[in-house]
Amino acid sequence: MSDPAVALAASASSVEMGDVPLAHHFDDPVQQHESAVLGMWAFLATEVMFFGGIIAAYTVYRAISQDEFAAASQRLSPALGGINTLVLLGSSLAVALAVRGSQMRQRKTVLIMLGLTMLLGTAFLGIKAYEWSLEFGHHLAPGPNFHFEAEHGEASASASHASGPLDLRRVQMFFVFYFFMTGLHAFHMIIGLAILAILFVQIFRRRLPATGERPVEIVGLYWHFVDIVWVFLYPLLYLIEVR
Amino acid sequence: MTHENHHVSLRGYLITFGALVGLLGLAILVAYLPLGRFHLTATLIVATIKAVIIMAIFMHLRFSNRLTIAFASGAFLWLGILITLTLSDYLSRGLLAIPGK
Amino acid sequence: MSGTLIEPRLDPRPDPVPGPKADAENYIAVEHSVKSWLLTTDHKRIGILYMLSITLFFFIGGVMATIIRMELMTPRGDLLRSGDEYNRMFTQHGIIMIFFFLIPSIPAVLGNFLIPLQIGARDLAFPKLNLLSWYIFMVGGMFTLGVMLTGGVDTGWTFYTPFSSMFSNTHVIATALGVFIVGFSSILTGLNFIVTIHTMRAPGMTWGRLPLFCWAHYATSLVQVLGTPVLAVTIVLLGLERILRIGIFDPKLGGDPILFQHMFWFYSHPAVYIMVLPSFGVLNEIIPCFSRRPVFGYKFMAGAILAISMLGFLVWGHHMFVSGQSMYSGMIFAILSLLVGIPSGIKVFNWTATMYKGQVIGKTPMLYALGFVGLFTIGGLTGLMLASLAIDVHVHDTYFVVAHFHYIMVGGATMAYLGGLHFWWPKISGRMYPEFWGKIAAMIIFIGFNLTFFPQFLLGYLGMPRRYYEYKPEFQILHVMSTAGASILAVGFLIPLVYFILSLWYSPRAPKNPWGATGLEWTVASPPPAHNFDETPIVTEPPYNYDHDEVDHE
Repeated sequence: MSDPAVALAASASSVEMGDVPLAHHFDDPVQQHESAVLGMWAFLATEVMFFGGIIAAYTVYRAISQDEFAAASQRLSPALGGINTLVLLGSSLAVALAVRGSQMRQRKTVLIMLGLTMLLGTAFLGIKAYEWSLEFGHHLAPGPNFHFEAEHGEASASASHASGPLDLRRVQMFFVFYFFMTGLHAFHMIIGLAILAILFVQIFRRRLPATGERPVEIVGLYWHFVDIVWVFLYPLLYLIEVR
Repeated sequence: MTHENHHVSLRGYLITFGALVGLLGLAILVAYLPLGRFHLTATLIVATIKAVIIMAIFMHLRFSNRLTIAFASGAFLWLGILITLTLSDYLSRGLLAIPGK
Repeated sequence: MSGTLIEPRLDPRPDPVPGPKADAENYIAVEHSVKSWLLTTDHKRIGILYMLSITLFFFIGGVMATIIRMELMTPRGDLLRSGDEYNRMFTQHGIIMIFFFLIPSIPAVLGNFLIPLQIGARDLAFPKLNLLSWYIFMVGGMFTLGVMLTGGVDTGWTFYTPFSSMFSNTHVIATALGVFIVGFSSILTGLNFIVTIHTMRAPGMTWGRLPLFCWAHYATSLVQVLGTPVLAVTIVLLGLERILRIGIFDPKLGGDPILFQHMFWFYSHPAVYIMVLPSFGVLNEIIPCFSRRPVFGYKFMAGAILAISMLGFLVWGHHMFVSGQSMYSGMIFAILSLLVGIPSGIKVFNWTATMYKGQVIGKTPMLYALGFVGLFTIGGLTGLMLASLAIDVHVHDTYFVVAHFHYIMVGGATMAYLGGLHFWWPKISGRMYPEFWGKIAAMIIFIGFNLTFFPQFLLGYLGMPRRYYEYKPEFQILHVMSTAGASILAVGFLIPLVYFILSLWYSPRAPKNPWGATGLEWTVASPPPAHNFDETPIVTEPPYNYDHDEVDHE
């Protein structure tokens, strides 16, 4: 930033970005912003592959035991899952509006929307915990206490497959995936909530400018990603075949 | 990156959200339809549309440079490789009369 | 790459401004306290931290290799107390060498040090993440070392289920956790390189002018970013299965152990390219410099590097030909594996073509580079044999495989690392290394390496399985040759350690550009100033712009 022409050009081309302090190794705020955004997207690519490993394993077992997965999936509550999807989509909207607020230099909007995001995120985790407690109560958690009895007609009703007795080991496998995938997702939510809380406090105490969009935008990207994961988990786990 | 010229309006975000909620409804509706093994395809198509909308508008991919778009889609491409090649093993087992192959 | 600063000749010339003034602001001299090293965000210092750590791990792994080779001198198990102990020994050798030496070797040391210098940046895009990656690496490393001191692990570095999940009674989880942790350091390094190469290039440093060293690290980083997370989640699943017994790989619970192999090799085959692609990058810098010619087919070289990193993800099933994988899948993987030979061939031919009609100068880095080309070719061609279904069934899990991957990893990656270390040592340390001893060590390593591993091809072809600690007496002569070679190799690795350390005090100071090489890193002082460039360089010339005329006149 020693060259005033560069500094001027940079501040002219990026009104909002200039609010975030420039690290010594960057030439201008645009470069710093681009690096941060690209870095977050590259990180999200690793996250896709992290969830991708487990989704690939899920796909394999679902392909070779469709009836069991369909039967097991019916013990989940599509309603609770659907509500949770709605909650999470709402939190995504809230964080998008927080980013917009930071672009428009509206500190109050940023704080309100970040707060709303955290509220909805916590609500999601609460509903999720309630669901888990129901499933634990029904002995659906894998392990020695796992108990599953095929309801009448469940095995034969599944489409396009020769009906036979369900392989209970694969039914249990579905719940391994269910608990692992939702657990991993919840873990990401908790991390996201923690980061949002830090961001909120920093902006609230004016340690970070609400108008510097970079931190809000980067955290927002992560939050949207967690939302996208759930968008896929919901049909994969809850909507296999609802009756 | 000159995306500061591309603020999505408040209305735009609300419409997006409405579309997402609509698609959620569609996904649930599809799950109740007697589609048999096409459930997976149908619900995944809906989920993919939702994901694309979130990425394009909420995550501003629409206004990003091609590089960012390449990273976003590259990740899903790689996931596709992992799933396709792994499945190619499981779905072709037993096609030959060789025990264990 | 500003032309005025490039010396067209090889003979080192003294710095125009020698003395304490230039010295005072270099990255080593700028601060001396231990704290300034442990809390540094300077990519050059972090490269040094990595260099010290991986050297430590290399010699720990090397001690284990020595014990293995000594055990195998006689057909009976006599040095180690039991086969279990032998199993732990080769497992730990593999884990240390792969996860704690080979994967971080060139990227984390030379890549960290050189990428910002080569593209004309003041640092990597995320300096703090860079430091964090070193700490994560050390935590993972110390964790794994601690496990090994308190009992170790015997699953082989591949952690195959169901042995690892159900039967092994060693510290599988703790070791796997160490590997899990170190994976994040690898991801962070890769992420940093990708962003840096995209956003931090100096004006004029277009993709077509980017040094191939950076291209190679870019491709490596893609593999790290896209592959490592799959290993991480696989390890988590393995841990869950072992602790809670509710896993998905256990046949008793309806699972398929082969799925573990799929997920493991989805990372671990591309991991081979994490180890060897940076070596290509090093070679692409050394060979043009010591042939005094521009690299032959720059675009093809860059393309081949990217192609290998992409194809690397499509071939993992060739590790599983004799598992329960379906025959059709095996055939697909075999065909795809053979495709990797095409870009690899392009690279070998282009290196050769670069030297053709060039003025080849046999300095130490060039000796390593030449050794690499030959050994990589042998390793690659035997790789094609192993990728052919029918041959693999015959030699699977024999010493043929062991010899093959050591040709790639020791003959390839380690030779290139040493070559690169010699090539850039003047830049890194500001001192020359002793050329005479350098050449001697390079020769010893080349001879020792071939004596160690060529007999193993024969052993494997004759049917000696890997991971056995007793064997039939008729194999002894080849095993003794191999052990003899390993001792020579060990000497060869110790010599550079000694003279690199001594060179810091006793060698002449290095000039700015001792090799007359092109590249922005040679336009700054040796060692470079803390902020690399006083003013951002502007690149106006193509890469590897070595003077054609010079060769003709001489």
